[in-house]
Amino acid sequence: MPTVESLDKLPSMSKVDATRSIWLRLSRLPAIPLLAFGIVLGLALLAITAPVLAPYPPTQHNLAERLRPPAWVARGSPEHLLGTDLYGRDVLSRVLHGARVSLSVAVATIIVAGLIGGIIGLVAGYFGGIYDAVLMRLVDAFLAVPAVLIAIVIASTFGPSFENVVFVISLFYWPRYARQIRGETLSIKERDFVQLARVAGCSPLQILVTHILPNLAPSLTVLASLQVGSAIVLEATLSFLGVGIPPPQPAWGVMIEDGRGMVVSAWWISFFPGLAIAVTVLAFNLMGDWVRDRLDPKLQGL
Amino acid sequence: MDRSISYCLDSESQKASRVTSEPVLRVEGLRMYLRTQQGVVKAVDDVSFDLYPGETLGLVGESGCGKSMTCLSILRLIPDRVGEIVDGQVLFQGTDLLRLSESEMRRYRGRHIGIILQDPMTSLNPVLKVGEQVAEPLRLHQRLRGSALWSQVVAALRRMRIPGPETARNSYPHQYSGGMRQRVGGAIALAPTPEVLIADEPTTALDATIQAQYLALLKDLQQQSQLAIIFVTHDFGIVATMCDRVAVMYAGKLVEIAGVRELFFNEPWHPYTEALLRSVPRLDEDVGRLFAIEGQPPTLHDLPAGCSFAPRCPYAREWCAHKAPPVKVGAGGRSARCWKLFGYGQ
Amino acid sequence: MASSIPLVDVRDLKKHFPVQGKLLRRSAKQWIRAVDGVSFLVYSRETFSLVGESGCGKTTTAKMVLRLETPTAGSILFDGRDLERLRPEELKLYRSSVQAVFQDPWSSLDPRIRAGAIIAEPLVVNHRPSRKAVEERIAELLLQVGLNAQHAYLYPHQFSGGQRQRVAIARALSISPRLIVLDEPVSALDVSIRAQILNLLKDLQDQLGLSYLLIAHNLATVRYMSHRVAVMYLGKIVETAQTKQLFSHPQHPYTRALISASLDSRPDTDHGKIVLPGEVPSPVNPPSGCAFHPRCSNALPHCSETPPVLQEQESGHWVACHVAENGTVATAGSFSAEERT
Repeated sequence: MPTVESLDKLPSMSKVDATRSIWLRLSRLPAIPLLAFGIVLGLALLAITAPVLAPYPPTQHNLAERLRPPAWVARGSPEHLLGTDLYGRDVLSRVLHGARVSLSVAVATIIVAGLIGGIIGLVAGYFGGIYDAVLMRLVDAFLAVPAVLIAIVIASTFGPSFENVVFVISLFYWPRYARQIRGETLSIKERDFVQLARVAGCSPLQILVTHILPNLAPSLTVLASLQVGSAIVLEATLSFLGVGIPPPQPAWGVMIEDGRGMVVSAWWISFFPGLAIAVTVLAFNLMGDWVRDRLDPKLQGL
Repeated sequence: MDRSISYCLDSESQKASRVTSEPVLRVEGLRMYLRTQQGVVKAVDDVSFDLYPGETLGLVGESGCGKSMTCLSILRLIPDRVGEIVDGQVLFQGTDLLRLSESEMRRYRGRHIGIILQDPMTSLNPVLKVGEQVAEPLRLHQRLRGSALWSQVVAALRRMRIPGPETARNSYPHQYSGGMRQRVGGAIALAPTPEVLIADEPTTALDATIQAQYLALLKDLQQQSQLAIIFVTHDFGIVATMCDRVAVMYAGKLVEIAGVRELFFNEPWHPYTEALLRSVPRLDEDVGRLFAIEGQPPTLHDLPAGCSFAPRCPYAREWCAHKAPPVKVGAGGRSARCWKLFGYGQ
Repeated sequence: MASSIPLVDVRDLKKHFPVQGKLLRRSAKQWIRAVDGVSFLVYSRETFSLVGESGCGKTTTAKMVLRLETPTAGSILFDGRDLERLRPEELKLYRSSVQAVFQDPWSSLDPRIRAGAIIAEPLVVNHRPSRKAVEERIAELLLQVGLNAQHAYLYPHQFSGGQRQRVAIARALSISPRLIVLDEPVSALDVSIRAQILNLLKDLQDQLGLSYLLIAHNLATVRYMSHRVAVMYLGKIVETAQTKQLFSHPQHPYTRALISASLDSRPDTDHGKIVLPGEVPSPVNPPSGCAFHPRCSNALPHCSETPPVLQEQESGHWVACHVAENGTVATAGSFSAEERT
């Protein structure tokens, strides 16, 4: 059975250079998505093992060691690899614990927003008519809500907390899920196998559960993986503004805020949490892109 | 507006009027391989045929047989990352198209060889006016401008019997029905008066009566201009009505070429052609039980050894699975690849 | 062949879709008359075909028989009972008497469910049999359609197009229906596979005493499969007869044109090609009188004023045409010996 390698050796009629075939071979390796997937898995592991892995408790003050730079810079010490902040808290430990916070906020949000948005989208898409009209107007209303403003209102009324953050971010995301799922439901509903399920005598509930939901799964997965990234950024924004995760809990956004006034003198306090956010979001986005690419062509026949 | 015309195909007089000296297109040993996830696939495997001015050659086969790939290969429209032409010649009036540079090839594509595609819904650009799309090849190839350009555009639209050609140029594709859009596609392909037209299943998506209009139109146009047509189809009815000769493809190879009348009245040479003809229901008589070819059309990355059709062939013998059959050539260029014609290698 | 009590009795069936008016106007002034007064009978053990080009209303009619659409007017009687008057339990019984096979083998099967479960779904939903009974029935059905019991464990994408249609047929058979609606069952399949599926359908009809309502645009397929045929144009039936009769003595000019346009796979068949002018008119604004008159070469002034009604020309052969009533029809476009030019 001839392989791509042997194809390259066959005489070429057009002026294709050798470099093009090399690129062809390279691009077939899923190098980047694998890396992204690895980062995501690594993050999850770090988040889970943070209490064990982190060299110091994240909220432990140590004024003698305050404002130490990272280990490889002058005045740094190997005891605090990434340096310390204003209160002597170990940056590395705080970044690790922050991963827990950020990821748990993201997961909780996805679940809550996904459930609410999913059910509303399904009902609107499948039953149509008045249900669709009413529910979509509700969606439109919520889409107009500015997340940050609401967060500020809620934080000042009820005080900032983990639950409130999840609440606000879910509020922001569920309409987007609902829209997407409604659209998908509409198109799945028209496919022949759904019509045939009606002919067979299935009730709407049976059709929704047996046929529509499983076919929504791929795009739901893609949506979720792409949303995680932006959920994390939103959480960081809220924490940065002081209306998210309350201090002294380590959240990346809070850490960035802590280091805001010292960006030139003690750059490491804001830099490492910022880097963590960037890497995490990038990894989730790349993974989500890859998942979408893998799933779509398969579904489109053959 | 069209009038109802009573129209009979008369191939004898058509043959006589045809200039038979030199083929306008000669394809020799064309091989095009595709890169797929499962490996290399021989989409076009040693395809050779001639096309003469004024004649219609039917290219027949089922999905995956390579007929569309052959056409795209002739026009060198296969992207490099997808596949590559690895052997053969495509001689247009003596010039080998496969050896030209891309910019040289562009002077032939659309100008001397036109193409009409299958799906009227997607073959036209929905945001450009119809007139613009017909004008494009004229602008590019013949460098027409201004009133010279637009009078040609209107003439092209009128040739395809599109009603109101002067105003048609300002219409958008979505304002037209499927049959009309295919006519616009035909106008685009034929505006630069090419010598060869490749029609890739242009009527498959059209209703029967609209298809009849379209085919009658193509036939008329051909008679006026010595246009040579490669008509890709899976429908033997179209072959019988439109074509002078027919080439049958299976699993990337050309398995039979014959004149249409020879094929239908003197029996096909290749068992696949014969089986296909026997498996198609007839309109004018009751055929008893249809002959059904066993099995499925092969997947190209998993071809059997020897003759690709052997697993489904009612005439196959052990010998057929060992070696690919050679080509038997008969009178008038009639040929087929089958061991049965060679006594099974004895 | 056919018993005298029709299995399906469709009477003056209509389906009109409202065309959305301008943005905020609520009253839909315009209607798409997709099906505009269609009546026919289907007997047991026979195949009845509805043929026509796109937009003629054949698919919408089939959907109404399957109760995927509700009629705007008219009635459908199954075994003599009006579907509108059925109680919910009786409606469920109707569902298990009428099943369907659709055109596209790729979207007819849920890609996430194994073939066995797809086949058994109607059975499970309607009868709740034991697991063992289901498994046995699945195996039995797979054999009946020319597959084998192992195929039950495969997913749709692991089958070829022809095999998928077989799975779809097995599913339709699972609750032993009396009528199967076949909507273009072979148009999306390769030519060499079509004969396999058509023969299978014919065999199943003989073995199981099924009736088929066949929707098709390919006349040769219709001729091969059907006992009786009705030709539709713009929502109405213009001609209906026994198959052989229709093809040898078509009376309606549209039928003749359609037959003529359906290219026969033999060259030089000298039945005079009729090429119809123009397009199929829009179902929103059908022409006055006879919908076909703008394209008809035999049209009389009368034809643009009054719509013709189906009238029985010969036994079982009904035509809706003013000109045919008078017996002066064009001679081109048929296959009867004496009319060949």
